[in-house]
Amino acid sequence: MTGPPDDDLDRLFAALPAEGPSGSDLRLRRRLHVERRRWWLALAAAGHITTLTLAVLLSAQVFAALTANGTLDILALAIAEPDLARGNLRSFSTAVGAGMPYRYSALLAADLAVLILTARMLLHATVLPAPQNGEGSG
Amino acid sequence: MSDRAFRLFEFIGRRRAATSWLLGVAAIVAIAGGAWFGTASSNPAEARTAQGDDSTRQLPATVAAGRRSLQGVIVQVRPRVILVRAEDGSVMRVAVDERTTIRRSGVTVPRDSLAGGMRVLVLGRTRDDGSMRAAVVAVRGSSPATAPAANRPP
Repeated sequence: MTGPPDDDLDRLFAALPAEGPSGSDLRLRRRLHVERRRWWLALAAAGHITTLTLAVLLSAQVFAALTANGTLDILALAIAEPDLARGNLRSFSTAVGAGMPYRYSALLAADLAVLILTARMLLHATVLPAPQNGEGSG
Repeated sequence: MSDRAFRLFEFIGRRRAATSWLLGVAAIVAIAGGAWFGTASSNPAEARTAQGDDSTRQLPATVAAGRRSLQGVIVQVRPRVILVRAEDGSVMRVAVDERTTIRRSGVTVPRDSLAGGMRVLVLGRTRDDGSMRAAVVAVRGSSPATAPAANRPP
């Protein structure tokens, strides 16, 4: 095996931290990282607020439809009298299925998925680099 | 501006769990608020069923094909059929036979316990003649405005 002797390696590794970024470099990198993240945060916040508003509207649409066609009452009856619902499962399921606003429900489910995504983006956007190494995460 | 963002990031970074909870609560409040608003703003024309009763004079309407449920007030009881005034004001024929489960206050009651003025939720299937064959009739209370005029002999 060839290479530098162990003493030389020890000296080399001991010298490494001294070649790392200086304090002002760290601060600059951190500042750049924050600048970049600020745009992500703005984008995620705008997306989150939009999806949150859509969640309100779609939820209102779903429940308005459920109330208007009486499906909410059927669900309430099934919850209040579970033995009746079990005994007439087919009647209950077809009645609920016939009155379910599928389009709005699907849109609400999709909106919830985007809501979770934007919430994760919001949290991720605020991740700052560790002060000791100055490396940004994206 | 950058410093403010930096401080904001640090603030959120220190309270990551709290921020997650806050976002979750905001989502729940949004959905629950929307649900409440949707339920409150929807008007199932219930007031019409509590108005004056002249519906036994009108011809029974046909139940739309594919309809699986019906809500309204009983306006007339016949041996095997009840006339139910739906929330849109139309009167529907509902066939009630020995296989129909009739529930009131959580217990199964006999067919002859149905009377005019009762608010009912009917689950069943539409038939070719435009009536509904009831599998379940759940009594949900009574409509005082229609009770005296209802239950007349056919």
